[in-house]
Amino acid sequence: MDKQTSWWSRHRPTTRRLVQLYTALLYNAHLKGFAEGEIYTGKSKALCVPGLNCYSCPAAVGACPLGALQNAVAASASRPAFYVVGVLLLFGLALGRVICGWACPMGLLQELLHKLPTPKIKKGRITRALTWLKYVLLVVLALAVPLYYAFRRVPVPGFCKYVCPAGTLEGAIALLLHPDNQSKLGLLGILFTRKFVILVLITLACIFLYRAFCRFLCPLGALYGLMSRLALLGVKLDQSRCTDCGACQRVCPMDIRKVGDRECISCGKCIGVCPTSAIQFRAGKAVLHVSDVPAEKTGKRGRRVLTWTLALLVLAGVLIAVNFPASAKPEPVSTSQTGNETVQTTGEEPQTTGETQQTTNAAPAIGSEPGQRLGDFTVERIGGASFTLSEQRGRFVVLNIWATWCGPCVAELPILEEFANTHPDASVLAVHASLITEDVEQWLAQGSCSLDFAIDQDGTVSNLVGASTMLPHTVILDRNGTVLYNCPGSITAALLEDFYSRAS
Amino acid sequence: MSGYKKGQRLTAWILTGLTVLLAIALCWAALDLWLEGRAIRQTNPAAVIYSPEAVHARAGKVLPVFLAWLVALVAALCFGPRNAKPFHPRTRVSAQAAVPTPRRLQWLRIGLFAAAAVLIVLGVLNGGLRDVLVKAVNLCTECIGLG
Repeated sequence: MDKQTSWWSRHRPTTRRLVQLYTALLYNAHLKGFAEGEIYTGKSKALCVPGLNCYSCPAAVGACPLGALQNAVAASASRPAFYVVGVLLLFGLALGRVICGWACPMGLLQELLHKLPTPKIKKGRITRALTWLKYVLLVVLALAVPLYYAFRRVPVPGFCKYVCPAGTLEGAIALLLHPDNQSKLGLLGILFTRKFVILVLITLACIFLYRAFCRFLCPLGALYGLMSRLALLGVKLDQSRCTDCGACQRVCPMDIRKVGDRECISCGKCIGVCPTSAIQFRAGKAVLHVSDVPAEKTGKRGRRVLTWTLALLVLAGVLIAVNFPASAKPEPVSTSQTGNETVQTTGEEPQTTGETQQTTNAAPAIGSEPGQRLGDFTVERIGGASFTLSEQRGRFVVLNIWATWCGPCVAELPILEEFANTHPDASVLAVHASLITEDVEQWLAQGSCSLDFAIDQDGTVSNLVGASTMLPHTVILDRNGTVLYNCPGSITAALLEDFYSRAS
Repeated sequence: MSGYKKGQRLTAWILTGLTVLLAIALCWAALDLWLEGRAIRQTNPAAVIYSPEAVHARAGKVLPVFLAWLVALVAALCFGPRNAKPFHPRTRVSAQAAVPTPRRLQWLRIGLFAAAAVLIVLGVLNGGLRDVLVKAVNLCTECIGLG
């Protein structure tokens, strides 16, 4: 078998493939997250990565720019989205759609799916027309829906919620696969079913169509595409040398009309086929010797080795830093001690009246699982009086952990309010999570919700009920303080009524 | 698919058929599970739709299709059509001088870079950076499709 047709010559990774793998690993360096079933909570998540990578993936160490944009737009009624817009502008101007071609894990996944040996659907007028769909999704789901709901004070990241396959695959499914998260299966309903079906259909499309999601649906690609012409880095066409032979367009798997246009992901496939060398991969004025050719044939060997050595050192550093942090995390609160033992709360004291609470009832055991009795705590209600759990004995209690920046949390407040109004013998307390992005009291003052609210300043209540990073989280207690329900996810009026009737 | 041997075409088409079948089976399993769960929830609002038992029952039904697809995939990879003419560019790019970018475009780019820098600084100052962190380190169950 000669070199041209040998297995290795056909499957040798190109420079682009190596960069794709590298960036996918760099974005998802917290590999420990898959083993723990928990997402990374380090400060690096304040920084957006350039490509589409769900920040709810257990391994993600950076923020998804599209998710961050939608959340920033959703919060724009209270705070202009300067940071995310600035970051997207910076990425778009510096890299443009080079990000899609070289630094997007979803792009890599789609290309690998397309490698399955099945018949392929070729590009044409229909696929070209479908490329406009992603601009519609950008405007409608990623911008208009969050903006519309922003003025109704409910943060709704439309694309994440209704379409994003990265969120379903990297976030929901990756988390649910962990044995510790089996209890989260209770959250799943129509939303997951719909998104799962969308994921399957997109996956199917990607097998038969090159980068189907990227070409037709990705709003982030649409956004970067708008800045393609201005991008510093990318494949550029020298018009003076172009003979309009069309070789570049024919070899391109994307729906380009011209090299470097809004659909061009700068993969570099066209560079080698141009008979007049009119196409170059450029960084500003400098010409780079990169294209979609096998890695060992591009560039000068010394420089290439140095570049990859530095890149691998950076990756190794990131992997060590996020998987083996120098400072260990504080031990989580024990929530399953027996009867007369004390319930400890983490943090330094502030809102609770004591760090430990003595319990008087011998059984059931103290804990946050259904059937256990929740440990006592005291928090200050917004607007005055304190709320002490032990004082609610004889009442049906609903504790809801929420946040102003969490769409489903805000959406279910009216349900809780109506329940509280129709059941005077029930205590309903909405506790804002410790992570606060805006003045909660001011936010509440703008609305007219009559619920009792408190702020879990140091995370005491969240720790006590065993709430994870998932919001909203609701705990329902019977009249003896025994936990009936303790789950993250949205609740319904029917669910509350059901538990209320059981407790009665 | 033209230009391939009959056997190669056949394996590719079998894989195609099974891929579509697997997709249909997965969608059916999810929809069936939800419809069943919805019916149960009408009598018991606290019922779990995607209970481990229900998921395992549907997975058991999809598994044969998945295994058949897997076998077809291996067969297609081994005996199916392969890219007989892999894309390996024949010509190398010579280090020619790049065509200068129009001055107007350069100024626009510089202006936008400056605007991006200003926006990022303003965003850090107005708490936008912290907002991104808060949302990224917490899971919004609805946003990832959990519900």
